[in-house]
Amino acid sequence: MVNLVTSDNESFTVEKAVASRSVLIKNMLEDVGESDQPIPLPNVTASVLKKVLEYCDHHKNEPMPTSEDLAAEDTRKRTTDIGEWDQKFIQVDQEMLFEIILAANYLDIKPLLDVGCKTVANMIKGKTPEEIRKLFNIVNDFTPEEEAQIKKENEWAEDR
Amino acid sequence: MEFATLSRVMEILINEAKSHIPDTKTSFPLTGIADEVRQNIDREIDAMELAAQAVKEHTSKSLSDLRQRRNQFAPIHRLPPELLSEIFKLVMFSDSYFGMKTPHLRRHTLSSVSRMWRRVVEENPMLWTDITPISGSFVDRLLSRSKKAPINIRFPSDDTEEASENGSEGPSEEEGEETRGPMTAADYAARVTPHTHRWQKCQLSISSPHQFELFLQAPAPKLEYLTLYSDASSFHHDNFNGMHRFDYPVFAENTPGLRSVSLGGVYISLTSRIYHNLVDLEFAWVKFDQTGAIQQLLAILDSSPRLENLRFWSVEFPPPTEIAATRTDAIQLSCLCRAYFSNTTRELVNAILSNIATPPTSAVSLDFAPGDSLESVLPRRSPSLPYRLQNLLFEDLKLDINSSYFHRGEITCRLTGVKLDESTTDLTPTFEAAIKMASITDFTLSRVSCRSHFHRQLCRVPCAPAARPAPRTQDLH
Repeated sequence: MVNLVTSDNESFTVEKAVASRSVLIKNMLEDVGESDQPIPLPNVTASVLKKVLEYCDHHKNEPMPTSEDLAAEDTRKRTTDIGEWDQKFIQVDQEMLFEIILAANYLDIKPLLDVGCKTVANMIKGKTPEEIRKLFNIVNDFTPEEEAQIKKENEWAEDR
Repeated sequence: MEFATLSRVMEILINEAKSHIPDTKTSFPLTGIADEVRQNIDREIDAMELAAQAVKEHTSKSLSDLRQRRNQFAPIHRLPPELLSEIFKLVMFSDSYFGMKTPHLRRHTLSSVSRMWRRVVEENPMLWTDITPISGSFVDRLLSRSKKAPINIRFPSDDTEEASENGSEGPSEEEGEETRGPMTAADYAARVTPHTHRWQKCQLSISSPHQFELFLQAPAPKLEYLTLYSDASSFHHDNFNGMHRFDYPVFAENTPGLRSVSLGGVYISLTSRIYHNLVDLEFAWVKFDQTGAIQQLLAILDSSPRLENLRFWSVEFPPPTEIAATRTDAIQLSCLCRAYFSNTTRELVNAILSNIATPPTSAVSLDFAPGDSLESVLPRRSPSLPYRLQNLLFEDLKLDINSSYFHRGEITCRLTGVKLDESTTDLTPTFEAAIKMASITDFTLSRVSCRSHFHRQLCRVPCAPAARPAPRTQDLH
């Protein structure tokens, strides 16, 4: 078992197979060897780690992506399709969604990072700039001159 | 700031502005007091307008800066630019329908959201890799912004075609370049061929062999996907007239990364090294007339153990020689998902299917003419086929029937191995043959629909893994 301590000082004891879905933790465990020392995760809060561990537990028996898999994914056309369980798992509010993505990036859990990024990409797809702003609580911060410049650069695109 | 101080501020601004307005008294002698008063008032007006303009510009800039600061605290902007950039890549290049047509339009949407998004888009070379042939300066900008990233070459693009149809021009440029119509293939080639070392995908649909040649000369070490189609307007599908023959070494035969080749109305010798180690191979409307072409094709399959898709559409080969027919070692295609043959010769189907060993999950699509049966179309000996047919564990056997260009029908039959509860009289000879070959005596025909009388049938035979290992080669009967 592995003991993980979050930034808000909460402890989680999990199976090694679950914790090792994180390449960061896996490497730490390999470097340190057998040890009862807790592993501090200063960039992850308890609520986020709980979700991340739920994902890791569900996928613990799947093979880890190899560097060849990652290279092939880069060169082939990527899809934004997400598995059924993952879709339900990632149905969280935006705050949590972005925290999960940040945690997956920090902990180096590529499949979870993919699920998060694909979810955000699917939220963006098919929307106009104004709809995207509304979705993510962004305001239009272009000056009128900048807007005119963008419009000018893309007059052709806006016509179709 | 208190509003009471506003008039004082304006007064200072106006005085400042006045100092920038020339005193016309010195230039033009006054003829009367009224003129002098009027000129003074005009100066006041000019000064106030200048001050108002300055205030407006300052306010606008300050507001934008404030909004930009506010945006920094939007939840999504907790993601660092590199992750935002990854998400933008998915939006730009994933295959799901986006509601807009081209990467150019998608990129425009993303960069119109906010200053930060615009900066992320502009600073990620990967988002500028689809080199859309809209105008020369636009292509130059894409080539420049994509920096050293692998690029995708496409001529014409949907954009080019639509621009041509609508008579519209490409995007206007900051440099104030003169407007122009859609690019020609020669102009596009001149700009993109110095970057051949960066090509990852190349899709060309051109009517002139000479124009093709402009693109296909230099080595393309990073090229992975190649699609060359003879422009349909100049191509006669019935007699192969208009098929382009490329007798020169395409890409100087230097395409070590090439994985997918799709040729339509384009002939490149089967001995070319571009066909080595492929994952997808497609030929359409091609006539291979030299002796030994089928052997060369088998050699290509032999050199492509990771082949997943093999498609032949209206392809002619000379009859195979004895060498192909008597080949003893099966070509192992353990990754093959689908082999597709349509409007090809029976000899080609036989030569390939009798020489390849495929996994039980792979599917084969075949044309059937009236009177054909599986027995007459499939080869009598094959490293794969008996295995698949004798272990008929699949649930669906679909017969997609193309009666003509105007009527389509479909029969879908679900075999469950239980009992027959529909009349067999509607079954076509082909379907009956499939059942007979599979040695199924009891089955349920759960759904049959046929909307048209048919002349040609395309039979797909999907398969599931069998319970027992496959014999290497076995007679069908």
